[in-house]
Amino acid sequence: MNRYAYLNELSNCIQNELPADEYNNVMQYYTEYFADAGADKEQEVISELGAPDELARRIIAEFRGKQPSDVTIKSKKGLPVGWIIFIAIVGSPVWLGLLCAAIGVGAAVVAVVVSIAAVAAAMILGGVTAIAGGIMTAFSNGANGVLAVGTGCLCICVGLLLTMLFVLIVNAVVKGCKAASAKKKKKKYGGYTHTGNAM
Amino acid sequence: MIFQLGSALLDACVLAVLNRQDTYGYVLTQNVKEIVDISESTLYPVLRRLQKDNCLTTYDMAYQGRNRRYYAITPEGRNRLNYYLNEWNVYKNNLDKILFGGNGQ
Repeated sequence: MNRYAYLNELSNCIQNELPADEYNNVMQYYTEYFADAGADKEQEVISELGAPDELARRIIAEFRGKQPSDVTIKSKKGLPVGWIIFIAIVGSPVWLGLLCAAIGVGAAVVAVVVSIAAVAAAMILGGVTAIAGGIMTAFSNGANGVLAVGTGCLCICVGLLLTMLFVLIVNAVVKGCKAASAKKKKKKYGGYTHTGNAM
Repeated sequence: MIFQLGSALLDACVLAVLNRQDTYGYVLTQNVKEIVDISESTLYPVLRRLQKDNCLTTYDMAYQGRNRRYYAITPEGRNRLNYYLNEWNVYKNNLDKILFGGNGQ
Protein backbone atom coordinates (compact mmCIF):
# COMPACT_ATOMS: atom_id res chain seq x y z
CA MET A 1 0.00 0.00 0.00
CA ASN A 2 1.32 3.46 -0.83
CA ARG A 3 0.35 6.73 0.84
CA TYR A 4 -2.30 7.53 -1.76
CA ALA A 5 -4.05 4.22 -1.19
CA TYR A 6 -3.75 4.76 2.56
CA LEU A 7 -5.17 8.29 2.46
CA ASN A 8 -7.90 7.18 0.09
CA GLU A 9 -9.00 4.44 2.47
CA LEU A 10 -8.82 6.79 5.43
CA SER A 11 -10.97 9.24 3.49
CA ASN A 12 -13.55 6.52 2.75
CA CYS A 13 -13.75 5.64 6.43
CA ILE A 14 -14.21 9.15 7.84
CA GLN A 15 -16.10 10.88 5.01
CA ASN A 16 -19.56 10.05 6.30
CA GLU A 17 -18.67 10.28 9.99
CA LEU A 18 -17.26 13.79 10.36
CA PRO A 19 -18.47 17.29 9.40
CA ALA A 20 -16.90 18.64 6.21
CA ASP A 21 -14.48 21.06 7.92
CA GLU A 22 -13.18 18.45 10.35
CA TYR A 23 -12.89 15.92 7.51
CA ASN A 24 -10.79 18.44 5.58
CA ASN A 25 -8.61 19.10 8.65
CA VAL A 26 -7.87 15.40 9.12
CA MET A 27 -7.12 14.78 5.46
CA GLN A 28 -4.90 17.86 5.29
CA TYR A 29 -3.02 16.87 8.44
CA TYR A 30 -2.19 13.37 7.23
CA THR A 31 -1.52 14.44 3.64
CA GLU A 32 1.00 16.97 4.98
CA TYR A 33 2.35 14.43 7.42
CA PHE A 34 3.21 12.01 4.59
CA ALA A 35 4.69 14.85 2.52
CA ASP A 36 6.89 16.01 5.45
CA ALA A 37 7.98 12.47 6.28
CA GLY A 38 9.20 12.04 2.70
CA ALA A 39 8.88 9.19 0.23
CA ASP A 40 11.60 7.05 1.86
CA LYS A 41 9.75 7.03 5.19
CA GLU A 42 6.38 6.34 3.56
CA GLN A 43 6.13 2.65 4.52
CA GLU A 44 7.44 3.38 8.02
CA VAL A 45 4.72 5.98 8.58
CA ILE A 46 2.03 3.66 7.21
CA SER A 47 2.99 0.85 9.57
CA GLU A 48 3.25 3.29 12.51
CA LEU A 49 -0.15 4.79 11.81
CA GLY A 50 -1.73 1.34 11.69
CA ALA A 51 -4.66 0.19 9.58
CA PRO A 52 -6.59 3.12 8.06
CA ASP A 53 -9.91 2.00 9.56
CA GLU A 54 -8.31 1.76 13.03
CA LEU A 55 -6.88 5.26 12.70
CA ALA A 56 -10.29 6.46 11.49
CA ARG A 57 -11.93 4.85 14.51
CA ARG A 58 -9.62 6.72 16.90
CA ILE A 59 -10.10 10.05 15.12
CA ILE A 60 -13.90 9.70 15.11
CA ALA A 61 -13.94 8.57 18.76
CA GLU A 62 -11.88 11.59 19.83
CA PHE A 63 -14.14 13.89 17.82
CA ARG A 64 -17.29 12.52 19.45
CA GLY A 65 -15.74 12.17 22.90
CA LYS A 66 -16.29 8.40 22.91
CA GLN A 67 -14.14 5.28 23.19
CA PRO A 68 -12.75 3.91 19.90
CA SER A 69 -14.51 0.60 20.59
CA ASP A 70 -17.88 2.42 20.55
CA VAL A 71 -17.35 3.63 17.00
CA THR A 72 -18.67 1.66 14.05
CA ILE A 73 -17.61 2.77 10.62
CA LYS A 74 -19.97 2.76 7.69
CA SER A 75 -17.35 2.60 4.97
CA LYS A 76 -18.32 3.94 1.56
CA LYS A 77 -16.41 1.11 -0.08
CA GLY A 78 -18.56 -1.18 -2.25
CA LEU A 79 -22.33 -1.30 -2.64
CA PRO A 80 -24.28 -1.71 0.59
CA VAL A 81 -26.03 -5.08 0.96
CA GLY A 82 -29.43 -3.35 1.03
CA TRP A 83 -28.78 -1.89 -2.39
CA ILE A 84 -27.72 -5.24 -3.83
CA ILE A 85 -30.94 -6.88 -2.58
CA PHE A 86 -33.03 -3.95 -3.86
CA ILE A 87 -31.46 -4.15 -7.31
CA ALA A 88 -31.89 -7.94 -7.37
CA ILE A 89 -35.64 -7.64 -6.61
CA VAL A 90 -36.37 -4.69 -8.90
CA GLY A 91 -34.35 -6.22 -11.72
CA SER A 92 -35.90 -9.67 -11.30
CA PRO A 93 -38.17 -9.48 -14.42
CA VAL A 94 -35.03 -8.98 -16.50
CA TRP A 95 -32.62 -11.40 -14.87
CA LEU A 96 -35.28 -14.07 -14.22
CA GLY A 97 -36.23 -13.91 -17.91
CA LEU A 98 -32.59 -14.16 -18.96
CA LEU A 99 -32.01 -17.02 -16.52
CA CYS A 100 -35.04 -18.94 -17.91
CA ALA A 101 -33.85 -18.31 -21.47
CA ALA A 102 -30.37 -19.57 -20.60
CA ILE A 103 -31.80 -22.71 -18.94
CA GLY A 104 -34.04 -23.25 -21.98
CA VAL A 105 -31.16 -22.97 -24.43
CA GLY A 106 -29.03 -25.27 -22.30
CA ALA A 107 -31.83 -27.85 -22.10
CA ALA A 108 -32.36 -27.67 -25.87
CA VAL A 109 -28.66 -28.26 -26.55
CA VAL A 110 -28.60 -31.24 -24.18
CA ALA A 111 -31.79 -32.60 -25.79
CA VAL A 112 -30.30 -32.36 -29.28
CA VAL A 113 -27.10 -34.14 -28.21
CA VAL A 114 -29.04 -36.90 -26.40
CA SER A 115 -31.39 -37.37 -29.36
CA ILE A 116 -28.42 -37.72 -31.70
CA ALA A 117 -27.17 -40.55 -29.49
CA ALA A 118 -30.65 -42.12 -29.36
CA VAL A 119 -31.12 -41.93 -33.14
CA ALA A 120 -27.64 -43.40 -33.67
CA ALA A 121 -28.40 -46.31 -31.34
CA ALA A 122 -31.81 -46.85 -32.98
CA MET A 123 -30.26 -46.77 -36.46
CA ILE A 124 -27.63 -49.38 -35.56
CA LEU A 125 -30.13 -51.63 -33.79
CA GLY A 126 -32.65 -51.25 -36.64
CA GLY A 127 -29.93 -51.93 -39.19
CA VAL A 128 -28.86 -55.13 -37.45
CA THR A 129 -32.49 -56.30 -37.20
CA ALA A 130 -33.13 -55.46 -40.86
CA ILE A 131 -30.05 -57.43 -41.96
CA ALA A 132 -31.04 -60.40 -39.85
CA GLY A 133 -34.63 -60.25 -41.12
CA GLY A 134 -33.42 -59.74 -44.70
CA ILE A 135 -31.24 -62.86 -44.60
CA MET A 136 -34.18 -64.94 -43.33
CA THR A 137 -36.54 -63.42 -45.96
CA ALA A 138 -34.00 -63.93 -48.75
CA PHE A 139 -34.73 -67.70 -48.74
CA SER A 140 -38.44 -67.21 -49.54
CA ASN A 141 -38.39 -63.86 -51.37
CA GLY A 142 -34.92 -63.05 -52.79
CA ALA A 143 -35.52 -59.45 -53.97
CA ASN A 144 -37.21 -58.28 -50.74
CA GLY A 145 -34.54 -60.00 -48.62
CA VAL A 146 -31.67 -58.30 -50.46
CA LEU A 147 -33.51 -54.96 -50.22
CA ALA A 148 -33.86 -55.40 -46.43
CA VAL A 149 -30.17 -56.32 -46.04
CA GLY A 150 -29.15 -53.28 -48.09
CA THR A 151 -31.40 -50.97 -46.06
CA GLY A 152 -29.96 -52.47 -42.87
CA CYS A 153 -26.40 -51.74 -44.01
CA LEU A 154 -27.37 -48.18 -44.85
CA CYS A 155 -28.98 -47.72 -41.42
CA ILE A 156 -25.87 -49.02 -39.64
CA CYS A 157 -23.69 -46.61 -41.64
CA VAL A 158 -25.85 -43.62 -40.77
CA GLY A 159 -25.93 -44.79 -37.11
CA LEU A 160 -22.13 -45.02 -36.98
CA LEU A 161 -21.79 -41.54 -38.53
CA LEU A 162 -24.17 -40.12 -35.90
CA THR A 163 -22.19 -41.92 -33.17
CA MET A 164 -19.03 -40.21 -34.42
CA LEU A 165 -20.83 -36.84 -34.38
CA PHE A 166 -21.98 -37.52 -30.80
CA VAL A 167 -18.46 -38.43 -29.68
CA LEU A 168 -17.10 -35.30 -31.36
CA ILE A 169 -19.62 -33.05 -29.55
CA VAL A 170 -18.97 -34.67 -26.13
CA ASN A 171 -15.21 -34.33 -26.62
CA ALA A 172 -15.56 -30.66 -27.56
CA VAL A 173 -17.71 -29.94 -24.47
CA VAL A 174 -15.27 -31.72 -22.12
CA LYS A 175 -12.31 -29.86 -23.64
CA GLY A 176 -14.20 -26.56 -23.36
CA CYS A 177 -14.95 -27.13 -19.66
CA LYS A 178 -11.32 -28.01 -18.90
CA ALA A 179 -10.07 -24.91 -20.73
CA ALA A 180 -12.57 -22.69 -18.91
CA SER A 181 -11.59 -23.97 -15.45
CA ALA A 182 -7.88 -23.62 -16.28
CA LYS A 183 -8.48 -20.03 -17.40
CA LYS A 184 -10.37 -19.28 -14.18
CA LYS A 185 -7.48 -20.56 -12.06
CA LYS A 186 -5.03 -18.45 -14.03
CA LYS A 187 -7.22 -15.37 -13.64
CA LYS A 188 -7.48 -15.85 -9.85
CA TYR A 189 -3.73 -16.16 -9.49
CA GLY A 190 -3.20 -13.09 -11.67
CA GLY A 191 -5.52 -11.07 -9.44
CA TYR A 192 -3.69 -12.17 -6.31
CA THR A 193 -0.25 -11.13 -7.57
CA HIS A 194 -1.68 -7.81 -8.69
CA THR A 195 -2.94 -6.92 -5.21
CA GLY A 196 0.34 -8.26 -3.85
CA ASN A 197 2.24 -5.68 -5.85
CA ALA A 198 -0.09 -2.87 -4.92
CA MET A 199 0.08 -3.46 -1.19
CA MET B 1 9.46 3.76 28.48
CA ILE B 2 7.69 1.66 31.08
CA PHE B 3 5.81 4.61 32.66
CA GLN B 4 2.49 5.49 31.09
CA LEU B 5 2.06 8.97 29.72
CA GLY B 6 -1.41 10.30 30.52
CA SER B 7 -3.25 12.75 28.31
CA ALA B 8 -2.44 15.70 30.60
CA LEU B 9 1.30 15.03 30.37
CA LEU B 10 1.02 14.60 26.61
CA ASP B 11 -0.75 17.98 26.40
CA ALA B 12 2.03 19.46 28.55
CA CYS B 13 4.73 18.03 26.23
CA VAL B 14 3.05 19.46 23.12
CA LEU B 15 2.56 22.87 24.74
CA ALA B 16 6.17 22.89 25.96
CA VAL B 17 7.51 22.18 22.46
CA LEU B 18 5.25 24.86 20.95
CA ASN B 19 6.28 27.30 23.68
CA ARG B 20 9.80 27.22 22.28
CA GLN B 21 8.77 27.68 18.66
CA ASP B 22 5.92 27.23 16.21
CA THR B 23 6.13 24.03 14.28
CA TYR B 24 4.13 21.62 12.08
CA GLY B 25 2.65 18.18 12.67
CA TYR B 26 5.50 16.00 11.51
CA VAL B 27 8.29 17.79 13.40
CA LEU B 28 6.11 18.10 16.49
CA THR B 29 5.48 14.36 16.45
CA GLN B 30 9.17 13.60 16.01
CA ASN B 31 10.09 15.95 18.88
CA VAL B 32 7.64 14.32 21.26
CA LYS B 33 8.63 10.86 20.01
CA GLU B 34 12.22 11.50 20.97
CA ILE B 35 11.34 11.65 24.65
CA VAL B 36 8.28 9.46 25.01
CA ASP B 37 7.15 6.38 23.17
CA ILE B 38 4.04 7.50 21.29
CA SER B 39 2.54 6.30 18.06
CA GLU B 40 2.56 8.62 15.05
CA SER B 41 -1.22 8.64 15.16
CA THR B 42 -1.41 9.99 18.72
CA LEU B 43 -0.90 13.68 18.16
CA TYR B 44 -3.67 14.68 15.77
CA PRO B 45 -6.44 14.25 18.38
CA VAL B 46 -4.27 16.03 20.98
CA LEU B 47 -3.71 19.01 18.68
CA ARG B 48 -7.39 19.16 17.81
CA ARG B 49 -8.39 19.11 21.48
CA LEU B 50 -5.89 21.83 22.42
CA GLN B 51 -7.06 23.93 19.51
CA LYS B 52 -10.69 23.52 20.57
CA ASP B 53 -9.68 24.70 24.07
CA ASN B 54 -8.04 27.82 22.55
CA CYS B 55 -4.63 26.70 23.79
CA LEU B 56 -3.16 26.85 20.31
CA THR B 57 -3.88 28.34 16.89
CA THR B 58 -2.86 27.33 13.42
CA TYR B 59 -1.65 29.21 10.39
CA ASP B 60 -0.77 27.97 6.93
CA MET B 61 2.49 28.61 5.10
CA ALA B 62 3.47 27.65 1.57
CA TYR B 63 6.34 25.20 1.43
CA GLN B 64 7.69 23.77 -1.85
CA GLY B 65 4.47 24.39 -3.70
CA ARG B 66 2.24 22.87 -1.05
CA ASN B 67 0.70 23.92 2.19
CA ARG B 68 2.14 23.40 5.65
CA ARG B 69 0.03 23.99 8.74
CA TYR B 70 1.94 25.46 11.68
CA TYR B 71 0.79 25.30 15.26
CA ALA B 72 1.38 28.21 17.67
CA ILE B 73 0.74 28.45 21.39
CA THR B 74 -1.76 31.08 22.61
CA PRO B 75 -1.70 33.09 25.89
CA GLU B 76 -4.30 30.65 27.19
CA GLY B 77 -2.02 27.80 26.17
CA ARG B 78 0.86 29.38 28.13
CA ASN B 79 -1.39 29.63 31.18
CA ARG B 80 -2.24 25.98 30.91
CA LEU B 81 1.42 25.05 30.36
CA ASN B 82 2.39 26.96 33.54
CA TYR B 83 -0.35 25.18 35.42
CA TYR B 84 0.92 21.80 34.13
CA LEU B 85 4.54 22.70 35.01
CA ASN B 86 3.58 23.59 38.59
CA GLU B 87 1.53 20.43 38.94
CA TRP B 88 4.39 18.42 37.51
CA ASN B 89 6.86 19.90 39.99
CA VAL B 90 4.64 18.99 42.92
CA TYR B 91 4.05 15.52 41.57
CA LYS B 92 7.73 14.96 40.75
CA ASN B 93 8.90 16.09 44.20
CA ASN B 94 6.38 13.85 45.92
CA LEU B 95 7.44 10.92 43.77
CA ASP B 96 11.11 11.60 44.45
CA LYS B 97 10.43 11.64 48.18
CA ILE B 98 9.03 8.14 47.97
CA LEU B 99 11.50 6.78 45.43
CA PHE B 100 14.71 8.34 46.73
CA GLY B 101 13.72 9.00 50.36
CA GLY B 102 15.25 12.49 50.43
CA ASN B 103 13.77 15.88 49.65
CA GLY B 104 13.89 15.22 45.97
CA GLN B 105 16.11 17.15 43.55
